[in-house]
Amino acid sequence: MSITKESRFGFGGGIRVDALFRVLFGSAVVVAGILLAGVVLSMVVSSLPVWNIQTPLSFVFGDRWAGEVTQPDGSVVGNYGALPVIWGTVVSALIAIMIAAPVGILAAVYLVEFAPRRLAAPLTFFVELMAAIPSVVIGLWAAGDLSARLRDSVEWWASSTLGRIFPWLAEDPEAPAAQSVFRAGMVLAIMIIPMVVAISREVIRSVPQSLREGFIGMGATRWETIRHVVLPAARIGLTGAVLLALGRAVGETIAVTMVIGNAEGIPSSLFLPGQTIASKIASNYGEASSPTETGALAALGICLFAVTFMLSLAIRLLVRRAARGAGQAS
Amino acid sequence: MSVLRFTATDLIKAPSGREAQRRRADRIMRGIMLATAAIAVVPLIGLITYILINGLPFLTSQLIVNSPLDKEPGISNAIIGSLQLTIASIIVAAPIGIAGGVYLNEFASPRVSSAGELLIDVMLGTPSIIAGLFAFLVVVPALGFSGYAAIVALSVLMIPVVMRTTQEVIRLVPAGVREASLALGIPVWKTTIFVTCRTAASGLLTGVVLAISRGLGETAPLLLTAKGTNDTEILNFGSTMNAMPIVIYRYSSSPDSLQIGQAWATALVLLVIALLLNVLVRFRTVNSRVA
Amino acid sequence: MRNLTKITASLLMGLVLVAGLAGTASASAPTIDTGAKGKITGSGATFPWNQYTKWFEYYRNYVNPSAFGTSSTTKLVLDYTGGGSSTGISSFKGSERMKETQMFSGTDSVLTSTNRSDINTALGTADDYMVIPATAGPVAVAYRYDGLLQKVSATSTRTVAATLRLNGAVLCEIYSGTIKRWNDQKIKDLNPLITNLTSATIILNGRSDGSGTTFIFASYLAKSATAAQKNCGYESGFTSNSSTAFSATAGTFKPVNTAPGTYFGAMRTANGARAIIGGDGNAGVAANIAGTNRSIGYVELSFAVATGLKTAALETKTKFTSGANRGKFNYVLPSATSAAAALTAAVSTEDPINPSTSYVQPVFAAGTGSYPIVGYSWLMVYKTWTSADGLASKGQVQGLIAFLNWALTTGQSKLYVSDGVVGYAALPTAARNAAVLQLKTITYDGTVLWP
Repeated sequence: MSITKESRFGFGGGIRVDALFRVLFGSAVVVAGILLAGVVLSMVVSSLPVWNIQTPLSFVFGDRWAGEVTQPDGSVVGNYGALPVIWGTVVSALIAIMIAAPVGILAAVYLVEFAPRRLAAPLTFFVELMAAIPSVVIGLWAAGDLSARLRDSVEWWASSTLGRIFPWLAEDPEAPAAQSVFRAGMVLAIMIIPMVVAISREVIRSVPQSLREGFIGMGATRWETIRHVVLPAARIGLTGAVLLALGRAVGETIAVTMVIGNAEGIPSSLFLPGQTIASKIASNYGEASSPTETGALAALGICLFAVTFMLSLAIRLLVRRAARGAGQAS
Repeated sequence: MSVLRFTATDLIKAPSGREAQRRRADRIMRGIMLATAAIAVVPLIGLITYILINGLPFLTSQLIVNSPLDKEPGISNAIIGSLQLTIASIIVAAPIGIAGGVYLNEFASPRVSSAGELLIDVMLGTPSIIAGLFAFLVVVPALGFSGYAAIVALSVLMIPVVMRTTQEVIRLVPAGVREASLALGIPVWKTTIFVTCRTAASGLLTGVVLAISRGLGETAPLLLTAKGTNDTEILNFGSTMNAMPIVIYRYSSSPDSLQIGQAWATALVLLVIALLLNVLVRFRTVNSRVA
Repeated sequence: MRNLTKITASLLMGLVLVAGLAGTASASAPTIDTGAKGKITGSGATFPWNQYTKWFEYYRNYVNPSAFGTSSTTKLVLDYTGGGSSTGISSFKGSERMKETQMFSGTDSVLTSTNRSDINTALGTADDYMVIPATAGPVAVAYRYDGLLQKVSATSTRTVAATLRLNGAVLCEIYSGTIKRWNDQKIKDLNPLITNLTSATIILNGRSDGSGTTFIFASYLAKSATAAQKNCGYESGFTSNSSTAFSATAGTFKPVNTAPGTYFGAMRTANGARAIIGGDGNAGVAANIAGTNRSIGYVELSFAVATGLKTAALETKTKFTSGANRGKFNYVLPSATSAAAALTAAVSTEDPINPSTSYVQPVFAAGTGSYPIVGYSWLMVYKTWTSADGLASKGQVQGLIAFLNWALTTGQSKLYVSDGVVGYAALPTAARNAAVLQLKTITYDGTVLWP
């Protein structure tokens, strides 16, 4: 293939082929977009039968998943209440992020700033290895090992001390539950810490060294530098990391299902079993025989997707703001 | 990394008062940070130990070779099923992901490009149960509980992984390489394929391996689509299929102690595969960085 | 003398043989075309799952290894996917019906009239399917209460591990939330020998999916708890637990397979009781009970045994009429024997073959040896098969008939055993025979497959 040959035939044929090429590769993006649109549309369309028998408001705020009830006059009223699963999702994700955010960020700071060079690489490797483990394996370990340990240590201690003051930390000392919302939150925390660490590491590493040196030059300790310079400078990136991890925590299905129990209703204590949106869909899909039952599950899916969508949107806006504001690559 | 600081007081006497307080705070925080790094690693050790101890006794040749219907039941059809589903899904997802990532980086206008980034973000953040629900609502009514439905669900999860990695890797290809190729008169499409992509080849492969690693371990979408079965079939995606994550999930709540043990053993197999893939990715990334 | 004995003996043998032949429905076994292959898949109740799994394994490996194998590309493969009775019934009329992925369904719930009309609509012809009992079993009230002790006798001080005694009225009050603690007087009254019941809360377990096991349990509660009928009458279509929604007349009830967490939810909240913990399938409930001290629930016996749970001894319907315990109820543990006694004693006004909507599971049967929570588990099988595209082939239907014939005859003595405890009861002979006769009505493209 000589250059002259190309320049003789390259232009005319080249442009046409180029155009074809662009269309072909562009269609890949279109396919992805169609898939995503399909995800949303399928859930919306499937959920329509439910809106015939109840209002979205009663769906979101209903406190019992009681199915349809045929009224004496023959009409059917829907009694699908999603509040307990929404509560379970929110609470377990909150527990997870309240633990994973500080632990993950501080661990990332340690790995970047303080760890001896020879220790940093292998330690980072191990911390992030957890992210590679399939969630069903984590769920199996959590259900078989971690759950009992947490119950006999943290839950027992918390319920016997704080549980006396706060009823939402109470637990029957004679009969601790086999599964609980708290434990689901802990498993989620363990699963998302590696994510927080990985992203935080990159963000912290990209804070310019000059900022640090300047502060230390003024007489600050390492910790003070981190607290007053590095972390604020990395604020946006760290927020992004936390939001990403939160998205993962909200959507995690299998590990949570194996640890949270399948109790209907909002539990009176964190140490009792509950449900999340994801675990309910996974448990009930086999049951769904009528269009309304399937529709109710699709409606749950819409709720979950809405949450993750908003989180993704927030992350993208943050990234854009960071790129614009700081003038550096985020 | 000591801090060089000279004040008169420093040279004369030991730090005290506020100074000592700050130094102490520094030491305490260092200790806490070290503790958090340790906390992040402890569960991993606990998990690997637990799965090893419980799974190793059941990791027999019977497990791998026999089907669930043999006299000494095993999970051969799950291993075969996982392989088939993952390979089929990546065959669908990789071209779309790579092509899309290349397009967004090389050919798209800034507006399309940022819309594409948002699209990938949203797809990446989509929970696996939603992908499974999508396939359950759209593919299952048409084709039944089948491998096809599972492939659709897994593709929804794999495509954004490949696309995002492709995007990032292609972006790293120096502009000079492209420009040199174009300056030689090579058409754009040839430049893209034979120059840009070839330069980024190892990164593209990383994206594919990451996607495979994701697809291998997903359970929820498979429960709603391939459903699991005792049957052994090769290349029959129209029927229900078994897979390793399904086996782990189902057998773990079985009343049969052999099945529970096999759940652990299968988890061990899946764990080893996932770790190997992860090491592979890191090795490649390290190599490509060095190179 | 010896000759006479010989003749008598051979006469007797002959009689036995003839009786035996009359006992079995047919001497001929159903034939399977050579080269038949494909899946034979069913779904539905988890109650009989252990039994079906054992049957599939045994049948494939020891009885018919030539026709049945491990891969549906070469031979026939039996498969059962569970999912609960509700799933089984809805799949039966679903879009997959009569395909190799849905050839039969298992259910422990009696079909409601809505179910029946839906199935009839789906199949086109009315009653074009059979509902035959495949196995029966006791539903155990399983519990975990570490360290529960009872005195050996009223006068002794020596204690042994306790066995809890319960009856329908108390269970109904436990489930509806009236009884919340283990040391409630009503429980103590039934268990005078138990020494250390504490005021701990009773943690209740039930199914989270629509279940035939729940149906059997609900039938028992409704039939036995006459005083608490208002709460446990299990009238279908209830809107609230107000007394007007239930029939207060003892004996009129319509059990449903709704998850008890849903059914009893409002009652329990009103009584200030904790929510019922839902489990996925019998396995899930058993695991939940095993994992929580001071908890109780209902599971099919084999699941309780496999998980190592204790089972409660339930009060019988009949009191002793003689002996030391005259005038008192007996308390029976679930077992294959006590279940079989119940099956025999259950006065049924109809056979368990193709039961009508008013069929009552043989719960709360008379007799001091009868375990009060026993139920049949049925298989729903299509009668008219065709060779339309995508549907099961002739060989597969023949395979199904052959397997069912074996399961209903020889298979009844190959019962699932876990830890030395037999988990299921054999069907009474009359039921077996009637079921096998039903198999002979199955046609493929108009021809009877097993004449």
